[in-house]
Amino acid sequence: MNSYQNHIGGQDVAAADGRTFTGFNPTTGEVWGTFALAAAAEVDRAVKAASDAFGTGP
Amino acid sequence: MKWGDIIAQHADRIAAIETGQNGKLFAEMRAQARIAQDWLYYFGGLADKVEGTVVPLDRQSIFNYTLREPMGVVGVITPWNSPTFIAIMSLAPALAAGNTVVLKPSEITSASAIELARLAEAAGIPTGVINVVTGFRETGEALVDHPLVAKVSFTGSVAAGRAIAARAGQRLVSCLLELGGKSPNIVFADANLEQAEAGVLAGIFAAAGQTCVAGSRAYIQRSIYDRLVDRLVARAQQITVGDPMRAETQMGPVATKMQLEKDESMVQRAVTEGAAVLCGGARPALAEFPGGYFYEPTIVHHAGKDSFLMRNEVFGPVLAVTAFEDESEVLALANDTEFGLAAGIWTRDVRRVHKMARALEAGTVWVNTYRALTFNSPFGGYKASGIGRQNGIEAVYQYLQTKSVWCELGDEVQDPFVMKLGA
Repeated sequence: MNSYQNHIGGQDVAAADGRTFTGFNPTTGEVWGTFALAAAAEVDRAVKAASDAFGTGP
Repeated sequence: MKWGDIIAQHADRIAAIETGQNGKLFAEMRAQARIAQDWLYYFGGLADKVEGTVVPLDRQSIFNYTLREPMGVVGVITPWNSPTFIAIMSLAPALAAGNTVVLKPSEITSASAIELARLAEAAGIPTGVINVVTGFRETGEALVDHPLVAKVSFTGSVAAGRAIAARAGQRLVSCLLELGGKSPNIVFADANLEQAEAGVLAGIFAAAGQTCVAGSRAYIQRSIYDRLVDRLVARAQQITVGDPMRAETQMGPVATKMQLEKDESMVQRAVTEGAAVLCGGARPALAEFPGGYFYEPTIVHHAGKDSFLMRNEVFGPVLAVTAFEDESEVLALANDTEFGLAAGIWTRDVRRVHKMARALEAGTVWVNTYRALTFNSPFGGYKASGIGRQNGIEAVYQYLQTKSVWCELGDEVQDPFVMKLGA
């Protein structure tokens, strides 16, 4: 089974509250994998990581 | 550019992930992962060609020039139908313009976005330049609402596009919107009918109709209507529906149970409103995949121009065919929709081609071809099919803002109470 986290600032980041959601394979109807369910906190981290990268760019 | 090379090297793995999540053909997903390279080369090449201008003014003492500056952080929200392809199509110009991004892929197909971000870092793109958050609508809303997000790029349904644009509008942040369609595919009697037949089929049954440019309304000139419709029905019935991982499969499942139910209910509603099903209209019995979300290639006729089916996007393998008499009638029918993404014309008459191409309200007009797309030709919607353009140099400009810099080089003292006009 596949498992993915958010990708923030080059790191795998789980949801702070640990929540996940499931993806399905439409050919079989079976579970394909699970993903971190990003809430506002993870979105904020990701946007700040992007903003920092923008600020330190060439 | 190196990112493109690495994605192409991993095309098989990425395509298997995509097919596992959205059910589209492995062959198409692999082609899309490979072609990401072309987009990244093109837009990578444009990155050092973003130039400002020196503005010629009457007064020589004033030096006025423009800077084209990136916006900052771009929030990119992508759909499930072509996850890698659309992510690259959206990210490449945003990055070329000098921005950084947070990508929120569809909850149906989240994996490839994370793989792409990892490959970007393997290619040497600094961490933090591409970030991925996964989740449902609320995750996307948090992204659109974030005060540091300076631009939103969204590809998906019209309903979601309206909601996102309204939200972004609250913060006065601009959106690039690439939305749905109900695109007309128009066949005149003088067309190369073999080409037209293949083009109408490709327009609706490729990708099981799950493309924003699906040619879901076919208009066929009366004198060839019966003949062409018979051929389309025969071909539709021969389509190999099955495992999208197999090379011989022509149509896989639709991506979600919800999409399957939508296909069914829209066809049922069309029948209630007077349409008749010529082929398909049901779930095929596939012994190998009893739990799969498969729907038969479906063609209906006699759907009234104001019926729900003719007014709304299905995003599935459902074609409505309608006969027409002449150019003016079909033009009125084709344009009588809130959408304006694409249109197809099949004819050998060059004068008609250019008259129709001008008169059709669509961002893309295909003549004697359908579903063609490339990195340097602008793509986007008229009317409710979107705002802004992807592909081509224009796409980079969507992610830039222009600053005008004025320098007085002379010693003249300005009248403090009169605005400097006309320089």
